[in-house]
Amino acid sequence: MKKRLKHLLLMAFVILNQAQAIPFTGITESGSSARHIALGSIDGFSKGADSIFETPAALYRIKTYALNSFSSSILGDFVHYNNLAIAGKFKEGSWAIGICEVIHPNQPYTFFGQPMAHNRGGANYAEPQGIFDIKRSIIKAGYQYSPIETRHFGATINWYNDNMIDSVGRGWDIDLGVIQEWNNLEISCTLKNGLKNRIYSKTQTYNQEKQEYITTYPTEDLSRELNISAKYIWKRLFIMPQIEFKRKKIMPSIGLEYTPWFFKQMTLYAGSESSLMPDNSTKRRLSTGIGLNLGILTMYYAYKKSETPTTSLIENDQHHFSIEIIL
Amino acid sequence: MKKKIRNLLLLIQLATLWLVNIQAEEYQLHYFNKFQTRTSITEPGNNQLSIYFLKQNWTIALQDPNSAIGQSIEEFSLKKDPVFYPNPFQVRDNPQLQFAISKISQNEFNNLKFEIRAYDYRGFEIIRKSFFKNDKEFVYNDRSDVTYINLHFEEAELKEKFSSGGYVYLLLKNNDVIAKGQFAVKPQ
Repeated sequence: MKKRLKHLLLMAFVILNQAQAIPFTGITESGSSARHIALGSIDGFSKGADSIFETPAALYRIKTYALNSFSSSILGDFVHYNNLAIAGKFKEGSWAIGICEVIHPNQPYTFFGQPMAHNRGGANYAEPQGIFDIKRSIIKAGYQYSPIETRHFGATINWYNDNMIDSVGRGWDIDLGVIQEWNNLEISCTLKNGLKNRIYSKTQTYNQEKQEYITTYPTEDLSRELNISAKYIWKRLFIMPQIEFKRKKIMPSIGLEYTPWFFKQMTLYAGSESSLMPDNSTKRRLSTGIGLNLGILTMYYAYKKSETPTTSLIENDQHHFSIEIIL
Repeated sequence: MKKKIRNLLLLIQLATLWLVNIQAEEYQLHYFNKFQTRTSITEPGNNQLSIYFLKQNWTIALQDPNSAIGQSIEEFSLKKDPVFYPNPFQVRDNPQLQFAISKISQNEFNNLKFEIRAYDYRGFEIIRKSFFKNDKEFVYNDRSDVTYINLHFEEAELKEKFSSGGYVYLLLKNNDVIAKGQFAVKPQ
């Protein structure tokens, strides 16, 4: 008990004395579905349960029940991305739950103090001592309520998990969203990670002087993000501009959705997305995609490119598929 | 009879090696590729060294790894796949990418330029760094059959660029992609 209390006090002391932490990234920035990616990551206008990953206020579009599933591989087999969300409409409002997971499998494991092959020049060479996976996930539970027919509010609570061989991190925060509808216009406003909490980790760090591993408690910021997007309907074309405010940066994006008059089951998407890097620089990327509606089932495909050079060694085309079931 | 002579010579060779104080690890490294065996910890005098010799033609084993005898110039190729050490790492660990290349001509070696490009899980390029032969971050060790190379990273150049997570890298030689791999960054 005393030992636990000592660890707790030590952890509290270390955390409270830390300067601003590095931002935690790496789960939801990929996009919540193929439709979302094809649209340039414009939030707030999904019709399915994946709204929980964008803005919970958008859950108002669900009439009874909805299920969304998305699975993708990025950069060949180096990154696996999966999410699943279900939502239902009840008397008092809509409820939803979703899990989103990013896995980096088969990382080679090398570590300080491992058996080494030495060289006459003084350099050491390490051989991998095994493999490990990085698993990061976010679980979201959300609620949506509409006080009037054209105004919708929503909130989610988010649990973050980060597991990496000898480092484990946990954190939580909340998202809040509101959507207002007019005739040909909808405005969505979402505050993500509104409490600006942190991910608290426990990790093993090698002390070079003592040549031993010690336990440390690093933290990473859950960056607060304000996202304002609009959907303007002009004939069969939906124009969706978006502005994101994150870490004192303004990131504009735009998405287009078009349903041709000759094939109403098909929807075409295009987007230009602005993304924030860990060093606060921004990058822009184009995307495109298609949706095919088959009654209660809709299938989506999205395409965009990685920044890797064209080479046979790695896949730089990104193909994303997702399905949506709306009852 | 031949076998006895061979074993006797082998023993003499072992004694000679011990006397000239050549570390077992070096030989283990030297023969790593030929035996296709994982390296493991060995101390001078460990009998693992003997096992290695019994497997190998002893006349070749006599060669000093740094000796010029037996050197042969080859076309460039990777002899040991790159791996980050340590992995996972914190940026303050000053990580390094380690790999081995074939024995190439001195002129080609002098003009070598390696480049590492790292990408995050979205496919965005996070860092691009070049290494030239005379850079202090470019550490190499020339052996008779391969050249071992360590490319070092400093904390200052990594800490603003990387948050915790998994990353994919490409290793380029004179602008040609020669290898890919991945590494993990722990929270700071």
